Amino acid sequence: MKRHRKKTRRGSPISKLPEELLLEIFAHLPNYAARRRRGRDCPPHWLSVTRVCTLWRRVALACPDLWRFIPLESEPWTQAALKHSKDALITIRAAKWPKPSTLEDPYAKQLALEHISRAREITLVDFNNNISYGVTVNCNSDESSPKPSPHLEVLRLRVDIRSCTGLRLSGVFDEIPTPKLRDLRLHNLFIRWTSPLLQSTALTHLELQVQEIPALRTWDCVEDLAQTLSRMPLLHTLVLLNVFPPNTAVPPGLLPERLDFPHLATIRFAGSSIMEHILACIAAPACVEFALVLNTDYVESPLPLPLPQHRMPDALTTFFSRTGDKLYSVKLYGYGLWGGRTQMFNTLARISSPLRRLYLDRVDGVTEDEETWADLELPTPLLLAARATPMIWDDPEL
Amino acid sequence: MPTIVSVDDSTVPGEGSSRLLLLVSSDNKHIVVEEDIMSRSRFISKQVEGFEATSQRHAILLPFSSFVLNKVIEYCSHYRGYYLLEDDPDAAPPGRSPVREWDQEFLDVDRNMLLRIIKAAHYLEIKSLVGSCARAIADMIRGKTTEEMREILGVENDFTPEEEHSPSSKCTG
Repeated sequence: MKRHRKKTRRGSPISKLPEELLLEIFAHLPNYAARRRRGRDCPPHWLSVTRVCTLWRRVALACPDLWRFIPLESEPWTQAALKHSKDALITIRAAKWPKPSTLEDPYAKQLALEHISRAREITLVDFNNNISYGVTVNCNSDESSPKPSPHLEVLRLRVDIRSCTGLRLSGVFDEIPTPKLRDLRLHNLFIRWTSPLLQSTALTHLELQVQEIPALRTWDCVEDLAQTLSRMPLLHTLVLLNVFPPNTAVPPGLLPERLDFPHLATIRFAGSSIMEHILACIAAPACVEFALVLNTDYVESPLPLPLPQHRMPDALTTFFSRTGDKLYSVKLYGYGLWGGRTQMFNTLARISSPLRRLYLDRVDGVTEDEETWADLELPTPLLLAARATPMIWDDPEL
Repeated sequence: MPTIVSVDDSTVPGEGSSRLLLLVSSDNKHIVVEEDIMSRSRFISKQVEGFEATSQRHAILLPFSSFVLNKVIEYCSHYRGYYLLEDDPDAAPPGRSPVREWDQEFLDVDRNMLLRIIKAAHYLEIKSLVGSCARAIADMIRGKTTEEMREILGVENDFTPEEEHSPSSKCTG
């Protein structure tokens, strides 16, 4: 048989490649998305290559990194990947969005999540409370201490908004120490500002957003958020959408005067007027891209809340004055609620930084018509754009 | 180790920044190329360092045909002066290099040629070209069944019937 195999390999050009090149080729095979398109009966590529010939099988099985993407279609495949990945750091992704998926086996998913301690990435998108959330958050709830996740770098959880109106993150994911976490995205999940997940100083991407604006939910204090943010010097992207209920009080002196984010490139804030207070604290580089939707909760909330004593002009002026003399892009949404065009122009007049681009959305009195801008004296060149249609937050990542 | 033959200065002219190299293919074709173009190859760079240490110039004999060698030189010429992450991760600026479209066209060759290029790139230690070739080969078998993979890449099934049909092979190989 060995002689037969040697003879066979001599006739196969690809089998004459050094094994490291074969591995390089395997490493470029796609993992999840492409595999899904092939349907349930097609095994993952890693399994397919082990069935091609003895050389491919030996090479593939000897490389744990090739098995790090854990398939969730069936329990045997999951077991195979967990076995052959050995001690390699694994990636668990279960994303039912944008395509509906019926291929995931809940037992396989549970099996995969039991190996959370060696996960580098966990992404669960549009999961519902009965399967993924229950498995993930509560599977270790009876244990005395949560499993540590020393290698977890990426955690993205998005609750299916159709199955609930938002859940409070609790259990394992709210207790595990994650010192290497650099990318945290929670959609429709509420988190304590003092959660261990937010204690990682390695965080570069923090994205917390709730689709429905919270009304009377009990929340942590805003000063806890400020303290938490102050421990994230590497932040590149900061997205906080609707994380505070309306009418949240900010007693004087509770927020720091300045929060420095030297690497910040994107800010997206939306929600109640408390975000203005946080914005006013932030010092960011000049090239930051800035998007702001403020105070829509006061309009859409059925509660008879009084209009707040807004300080948006002050917040914007303070923020922009810290960006130095180059500001590349500013996007303002919903500014009209603060007085519309006149108020906004007055605010812009107080901003000394030269603006390169200004994008306005839903600002009262501002249309796409250039005449809108005729009496606005701003440094040139300045690209102005405006639209009246409501902004829908896109989410290409999740 | 490559075979090295001594050459005189008249064979490999050039001094200073525009020095030339003489590469000799397995079919004994002599190809003169600027040293700067081939600097993407760690193998060639090491050879050149060796020349400088001994103050002697050599032709570099390479174990692949002039046809393959010319393809590699074409690749290196195209990316002359570019930082490619795979070749120089420390020097490359942030962001992805816009290489993929050109690479796809460049590597639109038959299977055996593709395999020869990847072997040459591996020998010459040009990581970016190895990666592009590997990606091209992986694309050929992407989404294919095991039998289709064998057919596309010309791999013989050398499993015994017992190995092929064992229960464990269905899940774990």
